[in-house]
Parts: sequence; C-alpha cells; structure tokens
Amino acid sequence: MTLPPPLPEARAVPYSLRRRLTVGMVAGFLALLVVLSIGLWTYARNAANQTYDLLLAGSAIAILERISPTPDGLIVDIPSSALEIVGLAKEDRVFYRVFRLSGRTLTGEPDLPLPPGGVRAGDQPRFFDAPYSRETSRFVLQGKLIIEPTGPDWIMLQLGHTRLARDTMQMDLFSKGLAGLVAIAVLGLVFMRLGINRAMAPLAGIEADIRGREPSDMTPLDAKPPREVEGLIGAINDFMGRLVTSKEHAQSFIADVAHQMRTSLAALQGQLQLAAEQDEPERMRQRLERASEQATRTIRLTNQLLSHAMVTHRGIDEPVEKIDLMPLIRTSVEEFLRHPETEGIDIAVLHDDLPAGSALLVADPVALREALRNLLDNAARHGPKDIRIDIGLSRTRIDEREALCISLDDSGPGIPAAEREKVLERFYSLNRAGGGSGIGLSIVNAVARSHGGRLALADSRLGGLRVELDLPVDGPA
Amino acid sequence: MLVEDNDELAEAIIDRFRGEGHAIDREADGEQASELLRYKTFDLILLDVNLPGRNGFEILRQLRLSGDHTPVMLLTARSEIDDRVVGLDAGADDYIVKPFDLRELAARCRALARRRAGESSNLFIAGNFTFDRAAKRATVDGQDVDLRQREVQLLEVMIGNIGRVLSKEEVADKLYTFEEVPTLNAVEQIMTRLRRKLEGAAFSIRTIRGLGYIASVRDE
Repeated sequence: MTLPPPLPEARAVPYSLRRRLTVGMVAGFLALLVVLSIGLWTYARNAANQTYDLLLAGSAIAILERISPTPDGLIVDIPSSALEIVGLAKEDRVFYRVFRLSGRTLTGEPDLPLPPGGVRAGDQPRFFDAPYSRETSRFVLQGKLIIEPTGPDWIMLQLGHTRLARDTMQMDLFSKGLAGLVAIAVLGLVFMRLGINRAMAPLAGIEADIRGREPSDMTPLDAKPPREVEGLIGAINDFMGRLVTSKEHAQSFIADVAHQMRTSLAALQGQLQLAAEQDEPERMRQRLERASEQATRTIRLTNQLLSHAMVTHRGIDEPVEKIDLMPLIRTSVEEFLRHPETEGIDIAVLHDDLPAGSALLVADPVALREALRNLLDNAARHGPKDIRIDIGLSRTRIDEREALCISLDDSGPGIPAAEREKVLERFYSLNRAGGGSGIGLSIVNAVARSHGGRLALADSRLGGLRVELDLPVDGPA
Repeated sequence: MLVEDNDELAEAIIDRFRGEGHAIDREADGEQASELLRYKTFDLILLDVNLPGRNGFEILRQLRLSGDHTPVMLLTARSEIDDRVVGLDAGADDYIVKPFDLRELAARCRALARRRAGESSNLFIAGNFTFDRAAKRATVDGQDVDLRQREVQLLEVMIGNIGRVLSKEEVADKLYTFEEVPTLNAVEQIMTRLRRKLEGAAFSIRTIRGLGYIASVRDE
C-alpha cells in the first residue's frame, strides 16, 4: 500500500533574478554615493578655504604694510579696501585685532579667540577656525618685526571673518558635484535594468518554446543560449532525450508484451478448440491437459511481465531504504520451498564473511525479492529435480564503491558462454519447451540496473550456472 | 466459504472443492459476506481482496476483531508483495496470487485446515504421518515411531512452524531452558536422529545449510 504523497507546502514565491540584481546594484550605488559624497564634501571645503584664505592673506599683508614705527610710536592705518575685500558676502562680518606679542591690544577687538597652540612670533600666515560671536569664523594670524626705539618687537595682526561666503561656495561646489554623481547613478541603474532584461530574454524564449510544444514533441531545444545557461539547456535536452529513450523502451516493451500474450492466448484457444472438436473422451482429455499446460505457461508469462513492469517502474520512483539482506533471502527461500515441486532441491546459504545483521544495503526490498524469486525459479525450472543451489553472500566492490554480492550457484545445465549476453534480453529463452518465458533474467537485470549494480553470469563450481548480482551498499549513485 | 466476485473463477473453485467432497458456500458481495460471517461459522474462508461493497481486508479485519479465528486464505489479483503483507498483518493465514493453479489452491487449503485441526484436537495428521501432542506419540504408516524426549520436543517445534525457516540457534532456544547450555552440535544430532526415524513420512524436515531447518508436508 502506498501512502499518499505529503501535501505540498504553501509554495514559496520564487525569487526574481531581476529584483535580486536590481536591489544589489542599488545598494552598491548607494554605498558608492555615500563614499563619493564624503570625498566631495571634503574637497569642496578645502577648495572654498583655499580661495578665501588667499584673500584673507592678501588683506593681512596690506594691513601689515601699513603698520609703521614713528618717533611718537606706532601708526596703524587700516585700509578700508583691505577690510572690504575680506567681507565679500553681504552678511559676513569682519573682525581684526592688532597686538603686541606680549598680548597688549593696539587696536581692534581685544577678545578675538587665539589659535590652538597659542601665538608664536613669525611672519608666515597661520589660518585657523574658531568660534566667535556665536558663529564659526576663519582667522589668519601673521606677524611683522618692527624696529622701535626701544628695540625690535613683533606686532601681530589677527584678521578674520564669518564663514558665510565660504560655506555658500562649499555647498555650491558640493551640490553641483553631487547632482552629477546622482545622475550617473540613475543612468547606471537604468542601463543595468535594460541589460538584465536583455540577458533574460533568451530564458523567456526557451520557456515559450517548451510551453508551446505538443506533448509528444521531444526534439531538443534549438535556442542559442548564452554561456551561463548553456548547461541548463543541455540538461533539459538530455532529460528530454532520456524521456524519449524511456518512452521508446516502454513502447517496445508493450509491443513485445502484446505479441507474447496474443501468441500464448492464441495457443490456448487453439488447444481448447481442438479439445471441443474431439468426440473421443480420452483424446479430449489429452487435449484439455495440453490446454491446461498452455494456460499455466500463459499465467506464468503474465506474472513475469507484470513483475518486470513493476520492477522497472519501481526502479524509477520508489524511495529506497536500508535493508538487511539475510531476512530477505530467508523469506525468499521460505516462499520458494513452499512449492511442492521444490522437494528434492538441496539449497544452502553461504554467508561466512557476513555475520548476522551486517548485510545491510540501500535497496528496494520488493524489487530484490522479485529478483531472488526469479533466480531461484530459473534454477528450479531448468535444472534437474535434485538440483543443488548455493546462495552466496559476500562483500565486493563496484568501481571503488562498497557493494554486496548475492550469488547463486547451481548444478543445473548452465548457459553456454555465447548465449549469456542474450539471455539478459527480454523474451530470449533457451528452454521455451520447459516453460521459460525469457523474462526472468531480464527482470533481475532491470533490478541490478535500477540499483546501480550489475549482473554477471559465469560457470559455477557446482557445474551449472553462477549468477552474480552486485549491488552497491549505499544505493544507486 | 468462498467470497469472490468473478463468476467464472468462483464456479471453477466451487466445482473443484465439491469434486473433493467439500461443502462450499459462495458470496459475491463484500457487504453481504460480512453480514453472513456475523452469525455463521465456516471451516475455512477463501477471500478475494477486490470486492464490490467491502474489500477483503476490511472483512478480514472485522472478522478478527470479533474474535473469529477461522483460517482465511486471501486471493489477491495484485502481484505487489505489499498487498500480501497487508493481508497477513490484517490476520490472513495464507495468500495466493491470481491467477493460480486450482491444485495448488486445494493443497494450500488442506494445509490450513490441517493446521487448524491439529491446534484444536492435539492430533496432527499429514498423509501417512500422525502426531498426538497429548500422548507424545508419532506414527508413520500406522507404525509407532520410537522418539526420545528431545526428539519429541523438536518435532513439536517443527510442526508448529511448518513452512518457516528456523535457524539452528532458534531451534536451540526453543529446545533448551536458560540453565542448560545448548550446543548447536547437539541440535544437529537430534535433528539427524529424528529425520532418520521419520524417513518415508509425508512430514519431513529439510536442512538449508547456512540458514537452518524448514518443515514441510508432502501432499499425496
């Protein structure tokens, strides 16, 4: 009895490649924009500072030039043009202070903030930002050595202004630069989207091709796929190829089956008709016996055919489980020995290398039982009444993979080496008269193949046939 | 009793059983068969699986639930072994896969009836062989067989497991108590002696090297 398939879980909406790419690209662009903006901001600030610092320095030089010593003391004549140059923006305010190195203010605002690190003598301009009058302002500090009657002394000039003009320029530079960047990013995204659509187009074409097909159309897809999906297309084509092969096998199987069944039933009908036409009771009985034998053969043929179909079918979609071979062999032997005609058969199971419970492998128990039954039936059917059958179980390997070998030695007539290949084919029997349907070994062969194993025929040490069924321990590859 | 919906097959089976001198009733519908089984008992039930009304498994399960242990032989058309396993789980005593040989069906039914008779009367009969459980006495062709105590025990074990393979270890476990140390050699020796004494009987025990022993009854 098969369980109903588990209810499908609510199907997750499949992810969209397009969306994934878009989200990824947008995130990338955003990160890039942030990094570039920080750089741009710094650049704009530096550019604005450099421009205005030049003005500040020029004005400072102009003012310092107008400081001169006289016998009556220092004259500080602040040129108004110098202050005007500095106060470029209307709202910008200008501050200045002229003072001695000792700190005494000569003129201007005495409370201007000093640069970090304090005032040092020197005629090189020093620029710095400092808060003043509730705003951040930019200052320059520059000195001039004046020779006075009392001796040389450094006169310092601190000139500054609020940052309005600078900030405006910085914002201007920044926003223009940023606008360019954003425009490039948007354009990039648009092109990327177009690119994705273009890249996806062949997939849609393939889908349309497959959907638009007749169910019987199994010709390969003729789409010219991009390299990235070439493998996928190849796999689809391979798959369709396998479907075609499997369908052809099924068709030839059905054709074979139809032929065999018709032949067998026709023979049965013939025997029955002959029996019906007999007037003599004794001859009628003989005919009926022949008919009964024919019916037995037909029954066996039918069972074998169904068994073959089942094994082939199960090989495709039955889940395989880990099973112990010993109990399986045991029940197969039990079932086999229940038939009265097996009475004289000497049967043995040799499994010295494999202690109880160690003959484990992943396999379909129903298919394996079917295979064993056919092997035992074959030996009994084609051999003498007192045939000896040795079932062997041993470890082996199939191309480096661990495997178990189920062997069957018999003392029967055996199969000539030249015929061994052919008896694995369907409906090839050496002993049709003895009721051979020609399907038994092909069933075993199908089981071997569906399990990723192999079937080999050889001479037996008992004088008859040796059948070796090798099955990988961990199931079909 | 036969529960089978195919008329031709039913007719063939009924003719066969009547020919052998058995009385046999037939029911084609599962529901009606189920009704009938409620108040009537039979020696043996031949039960088809695919039936109109009610399938064979359901009838069988209901029968067993009501405490009826009449031997049941399942007739199944499907060759899938899964079906057979389900049948045996549900309480069938044996099964036979359609299409089958009427001679084989008759032989299997005889075996079932024999098992049933042996259980209730303490007397096991198979052809020329009889075994009286109560008296621990076996005969072949009417002649008493002289059996030692161990041999009688072994015979009982094997009769209780006809058609089933018993490993040497399983036989030893059934023959010996926990205190005794069973040796597999001893089992072999008892088996050899018993077999020699039963030579010519329709009940025989065969050795399957590497697997154990199996008892079977030869139909004459």
